[in-house]
Amino acid sequence: MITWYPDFCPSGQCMIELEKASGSINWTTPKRLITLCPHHQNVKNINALDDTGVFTAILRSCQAKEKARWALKLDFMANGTIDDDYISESNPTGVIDKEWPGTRFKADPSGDIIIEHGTLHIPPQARQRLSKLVDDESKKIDQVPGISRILLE
Amino acid sequence: MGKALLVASPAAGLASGDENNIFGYGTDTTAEANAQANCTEGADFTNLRANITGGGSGTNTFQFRDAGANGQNVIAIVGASSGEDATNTDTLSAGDLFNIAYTDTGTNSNISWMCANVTFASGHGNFHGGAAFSGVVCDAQSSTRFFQFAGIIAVDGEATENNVEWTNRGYTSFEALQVRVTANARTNNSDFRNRKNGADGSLLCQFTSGATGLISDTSPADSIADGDTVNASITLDTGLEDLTLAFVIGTLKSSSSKSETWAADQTGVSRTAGATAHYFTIGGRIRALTDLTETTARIKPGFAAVVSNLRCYLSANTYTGNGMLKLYQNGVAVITTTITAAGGAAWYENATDTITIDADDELSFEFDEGTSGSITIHSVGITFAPLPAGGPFPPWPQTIFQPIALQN
Repeated sequence: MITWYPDFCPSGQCMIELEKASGSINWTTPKRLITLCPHHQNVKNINALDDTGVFTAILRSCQAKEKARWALKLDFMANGTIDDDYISESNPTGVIDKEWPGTRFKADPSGDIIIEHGTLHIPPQARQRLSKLVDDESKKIDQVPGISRILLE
Repeated sequence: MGKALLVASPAAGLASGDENNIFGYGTDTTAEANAQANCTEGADFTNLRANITGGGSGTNTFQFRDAGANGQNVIAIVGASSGEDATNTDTLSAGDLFNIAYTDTGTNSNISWMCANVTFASGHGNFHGGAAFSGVVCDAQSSTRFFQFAGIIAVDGEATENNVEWTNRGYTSFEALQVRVTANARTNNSDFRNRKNGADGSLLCQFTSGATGLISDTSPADSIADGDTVNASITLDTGLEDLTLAFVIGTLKSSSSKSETWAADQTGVSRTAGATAHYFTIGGRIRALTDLTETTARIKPGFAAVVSNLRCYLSANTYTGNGMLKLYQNGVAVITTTITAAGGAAWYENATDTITIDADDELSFEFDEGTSGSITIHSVGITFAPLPAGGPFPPWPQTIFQPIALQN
């Protein structure tokens, strides 16, 4: 049994069974929704989605989040952004490089995915540009009913 | 059914708010989801314990977490000392998520180990995993790399599979594989598989483009035998985008009620020959040579057992004289595995000698000697077998039980 636990449920935990066949996993149609978190159950109900519809909304939300996070990492690398939490003996300045693990995020109670910048040194004047970057990149994913909004903290 | 041992050993100090788990590991995270593992078997978790070797000036709390809520196991250690919850049990169902939350009221803690015992509801086995909960980036495109089920997972995975293989002695089935990905900018599928003797097993954790979170495969198990090697692999398609990985775990079971524990470092720890001995914990991560003393490395497995097959894998061995790997029991060397001089990359194992331990005995590993040259250590471990019927004591002399005839 293949089980996917997405990592951005605001409370509770979605568990989705996927099907494995011919050495690959079917990421188009779920085999079974084992449990939905309260937020994603609400997404299903409000948008009158079937199991595949809510699964697609969850996957597209995740992909939009990752589009935005990757765009931010590339921007931070290009601009020499510093992360205090990334300081180590081998990287005493904390400047973001290719091994930086990525921006933190959280899901707020409404289901919006908030990209956090807690220990990042981001100049105030860059914030509006980065917010637009997050918005533009996240919308490169096919927009489906129930998809989460991706926002910069 | 019976207890098995979970061991974790962090790379850096614990700060209040850190989340981690009882296998591996390297680095912590402050995001609980990134440390949550799937309890792929119904299981009881008991005897959560930890050893603080420095810092920790206040009260340091290690809390077992069950599905994001506080569980029953909890220890509060004041200052640099060890502590154990000898009372509480957390009973999890298959599919439940678990982790450990750390908080403190003073300075950060340096710990040599954090342990617990796990008892499967059905059969006998353990969870074995490599971890770096803050995440390591994998982006080696169009290639397959490899991971160990212990210690820190390495950036990109290890290119040489031998370096991350564990030679199994006690387990008989590979029950489940699980992988947690914390960032995924890949534009195609990323596949993780279990490996047996350098070939793909049947378990698959696949992340499609942009998918993050935990995927577990609990499909029908692969059988494994004494002498088989086990590890995991990652196969990435084209592209240099990040896949950030927090942990890879295998669930292994034994039809003969055996279990194993081993410490590992995927990229290897080099030890130059010399008269100064170096000590390591019997699970988790192989730390820097001088991190631990024999005392701070000691771990109580927490159950009675016969211990055997003291072994290690070295990717290099240029010692000019024999080196020694020793198992210590309560501070005394009890089994020695000879690291044959100039033996090169190989497994070194004592397949003959055994010891019997009770539930309170403490074990550690020592590397020593070698004259000159060096070795590179990737894994070191032992096998636990249940005590023979009758317990740890030798059988009473037969004559005691000779029938005595009553005389009228």
